[in-house]
Amino acid sequence: MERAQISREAKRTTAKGIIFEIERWSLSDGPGTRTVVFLKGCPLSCWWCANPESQSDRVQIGVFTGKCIDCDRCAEACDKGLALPAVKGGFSGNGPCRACNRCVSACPSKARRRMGEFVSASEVIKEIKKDSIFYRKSGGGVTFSGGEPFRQPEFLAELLATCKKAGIHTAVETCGLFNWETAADCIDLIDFVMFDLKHMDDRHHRRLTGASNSLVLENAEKMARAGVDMVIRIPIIPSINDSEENIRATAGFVREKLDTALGIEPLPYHRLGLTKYAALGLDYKLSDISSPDDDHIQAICHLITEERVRCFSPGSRYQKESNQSQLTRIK
Amino acid sequence: MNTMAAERVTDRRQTPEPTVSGARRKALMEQFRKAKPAICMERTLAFTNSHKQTEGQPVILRRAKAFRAVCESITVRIFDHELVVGTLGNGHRLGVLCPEMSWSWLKEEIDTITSRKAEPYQFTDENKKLFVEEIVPYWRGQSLEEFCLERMPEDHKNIGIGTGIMDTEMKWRSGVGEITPDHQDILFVKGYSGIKNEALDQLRQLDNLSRENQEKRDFYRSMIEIAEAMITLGKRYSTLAESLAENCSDPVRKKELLTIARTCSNVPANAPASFIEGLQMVFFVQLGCLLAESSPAFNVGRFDQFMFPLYQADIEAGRLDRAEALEQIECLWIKLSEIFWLLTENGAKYYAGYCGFQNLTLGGRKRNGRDATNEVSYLALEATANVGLHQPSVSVSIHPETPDEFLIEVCRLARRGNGMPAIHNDIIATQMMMYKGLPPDQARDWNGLGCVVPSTRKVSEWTYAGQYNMAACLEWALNRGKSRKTGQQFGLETKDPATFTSFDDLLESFYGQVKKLIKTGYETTIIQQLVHQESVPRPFFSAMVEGCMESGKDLTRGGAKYNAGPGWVVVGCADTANGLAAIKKIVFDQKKTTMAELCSALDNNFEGFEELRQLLVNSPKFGNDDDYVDNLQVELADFSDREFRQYRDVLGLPFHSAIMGLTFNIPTGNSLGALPCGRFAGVPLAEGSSPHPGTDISGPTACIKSLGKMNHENQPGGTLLNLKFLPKAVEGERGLYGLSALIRAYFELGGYHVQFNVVDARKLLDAQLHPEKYGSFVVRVAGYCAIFTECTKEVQNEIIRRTEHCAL
Ligand code: SF4
Ligand code: SF4
Repeated sequence: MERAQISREAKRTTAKGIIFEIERWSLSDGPGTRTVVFLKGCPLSCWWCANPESQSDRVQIGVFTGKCIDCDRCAEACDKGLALPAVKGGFSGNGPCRACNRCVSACPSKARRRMGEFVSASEVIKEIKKDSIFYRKSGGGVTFSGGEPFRQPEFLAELLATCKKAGIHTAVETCGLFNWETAADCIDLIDFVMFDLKHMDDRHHRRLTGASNSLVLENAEKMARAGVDMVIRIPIIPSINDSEENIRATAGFVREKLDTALGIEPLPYHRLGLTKYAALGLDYKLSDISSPDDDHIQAICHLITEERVRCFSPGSRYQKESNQSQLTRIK
Repeated sequence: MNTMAAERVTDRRQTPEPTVSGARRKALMEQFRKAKPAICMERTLAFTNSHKQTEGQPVILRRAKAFRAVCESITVRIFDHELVVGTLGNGHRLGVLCPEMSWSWLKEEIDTITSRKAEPYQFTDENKKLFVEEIVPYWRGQSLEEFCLERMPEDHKNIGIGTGIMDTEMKWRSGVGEITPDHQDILFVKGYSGIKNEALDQLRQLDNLSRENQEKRDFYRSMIEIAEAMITLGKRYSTLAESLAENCSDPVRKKELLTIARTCSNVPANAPASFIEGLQMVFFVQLGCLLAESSPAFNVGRFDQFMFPLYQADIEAGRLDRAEALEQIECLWIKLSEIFWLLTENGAKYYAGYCGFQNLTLGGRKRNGRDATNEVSYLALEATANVGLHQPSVSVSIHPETPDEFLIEVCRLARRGNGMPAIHNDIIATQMMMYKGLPPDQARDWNGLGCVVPSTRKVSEWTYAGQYNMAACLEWALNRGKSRKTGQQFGLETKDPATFTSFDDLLESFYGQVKKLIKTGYETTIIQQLVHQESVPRPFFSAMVEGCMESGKDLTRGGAKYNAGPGWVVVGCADTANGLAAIKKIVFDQKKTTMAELCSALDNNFEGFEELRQLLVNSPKFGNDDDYVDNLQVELADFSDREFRQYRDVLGLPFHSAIMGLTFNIPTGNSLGALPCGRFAGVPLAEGSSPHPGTDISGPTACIKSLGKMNHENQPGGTLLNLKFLPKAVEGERGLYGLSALIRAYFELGGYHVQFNVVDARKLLDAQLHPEKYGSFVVRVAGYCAIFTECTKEVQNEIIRRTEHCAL
């Protein structure tokens, strides 16, 4: 115990991590009002990912056509001759952009944006603390999301430890694919976990996310045993993973293996990330799937409840069982 | 937020839909929708005729007698289904003209008033003829407007009339308005017969007719006229209801009419003895206010406080149940929406909506500091949600001990998206009232006035003496005192901006301009206060404010027990702070441009300077929790406060500052050229103390943190924060609790007022076309967040689609 603490102290000065966004005032990433810190880099590459910049663990340059005034400053600034006005595509060819940032700082309109930043834990904490008053008033706190936050275990552990020390409630959103041993330091510093289960059928999981679900399921069980408050989340992507079979299978798994979990929350698929796919010049695989409507989500909730697992419908608060019966009636 | 609170919220929702309420409300609303808003000339004519007969008498007495003549002669009407009755004359939805204040505007606009786009009024040819032939000739040269304009020096007129730089029109063209009847200690206690008796007593006690006592005598005689007038109005309604009952074949309606007859025979003459009598009293008084001086901001005041004892007594006696009380409140709400303040064409551009800013306050604390929320507070919120009209302007007062379930109900109403209720911090409002000079217990008993001003029934004040455009001062500092739009020399001829070598140089020129403008504002108000004293004393209002009866003095002469100095509204604070910050950053810190280049960019409205404009647009903006610019906003607001505080009004009271006003931002913006924040010429400025639209891109918590840095208690005329949300962002239970946490946090940070606008799909379509107007909607979904206007068209369409399907 003592040794663990010492090593954590030692790491404090060294740990830097890469993040791509800090968002204040989220009501849907854990209890209460939360600041969400998005750590960059993810082992999965889900077709529906809303944050394509979260996948790579390197700094990327995004170019937003809509803001570009075609002033050519970027092209002038790039000593590699790579940058082009955003309206003309942003880059010439596939040359090795070093993300040196020259074109970004030359761009007067913020049409070029740096996606990803290496930061120290203390810089992040400073941002997190800005909304402390909102956490206090709402029972909220900080949520580390991604990407996959457990991919940067030392950095995450330091962030978590500092937050705990400051009395800030901590939550983590995870895709489940991480090394439990290296993440172990983090686990007892987490108050709340949102754990994604994207598909129970491994064949589909491999196809849709690029990896097997076996480690994901194993980690989910470990997390359940670790005694952290946990909500299981299923992104609902119509015709991709929303079959009755998959929903029942997920709910069954939660009921049998994750009996300490608070319940399941279906997350309606949305296409709001499209802007960012365009900014990064990436293709979007699900171009003709639209987001599920409220009835669809209600139907999913119904299946989950039928499987005798609690379901948190969109907009409901995460409450412990005893109060839930009354609270779900408020919409 | 404890779970108990949540349970109670649920319980409340579970109470069965009141069966009694729906049908009547629907019928009344139907009638309301069919009625066309009109100008009624009855008040104008009776008031004028009375004046013809009282030439030479003391002004105050003439005004009181004229009021009495109005109450004795205007048509009384009771419409089907009504439980609360009364109109301003012969019609359903009416406004009245006060030619003694101003007639010229109507004369000028007489041909367009029925057809204009914003807020047209029906105005019959017969009435038009009457107006031109009878009214205008009598008041020519005798109106408040003419008296004020005659006295104002040319300089003050040049800068202060129709310029968008300074505006006091509401005080030279209309009565003061801005008052709250003291229902608790005067009207609900003694009624108008009590007022009459007190005046008679006071008259008897005047032992010698000294000069001072002569004036008192005039005053008390006016009080008697006012009281008689109101008593008569009530009696006339009672008689009408009785005769309607006689001829009514429907036994249910007949019974209702008889109740109305009984109610109106008791109020406003006497203290109301039942819940419905209380409601009727409130409405008679509102009618009286508009008949006396058609102006904005006649406030109902702390409705839940003075109505609760009547509610409780009726409930306990079994005379009333909750559903009936709700229905009765809804009836009053609809009546309050029927009467309005007549607007000029110009006014209609900014205040359109047939509104009168009749503020009604709920919640808050009692004088002893304990929570004052009661069942009527909840009923009033429910009625507001059910009726969904524009009046009354509901305000709620929130303090640390406000029950969570009340705040949740407030958020539920606020989430409906039309900006109602206005949510106020009780603690800061109290401090503001103390800053205005009230003792703490009276200050705690504050109520909302107009849109967001803290006031109380105990105080007489000009909460809105005028407004001045702070961004104009920045324009002048960068153009040697000249308007960039017209070239007129409005400000001081300060240094050539190209010679500024430091940010302090700029500040010095800028503050010099502000000082001069504020001084002009102060002088203008003094002139207007004098004219008001002389020509339009306020006997009707003096009867309902404590102190006048005791002192024998009219409100305009300081008769009230408590008086506060005039408030002046700062417009364009955020634009100014943003502009200063941009110059500081781009010119002096980063040296990316020069003052000379900046000025020519402004001269050219950024044409050919888009790159520079982008640098300016992307420099720090107020509303993002960035001290670089937030500190400037704080400094500007504090400066305005200090500058005004040094001036004294006609009663010797200090002026004060405010940063509110929802619509002033439009004409003020129109008067300006391009600004160094990157804003183009003519674009509206920020609303009140809110960030400039579209520039607060860091979400509501950052915005609230920025606003929280300001010293709101030093702006006792009110501050205003308008937060806009997408419906999805605040849906469900999370949304309700999320909003309530925002409010609690903002108020702990010392914020004063916040209101929520939840946008609909139509607004978003507009935002797609005009991103500069909206910009800052934060799109929030689990694990994802973006700013609406930064999304591609395709994503925006997706968001619009989601918005359409969101049921709150
Ligand atoms: S980040 Fe650097 S290397 Fe990459 S395009 Fe911009 S200037 Fe060129
Ligand atoms: S610098 Fe920015 S605005 Fe200018 S051309 Fe490049 S991307 Fe467009």
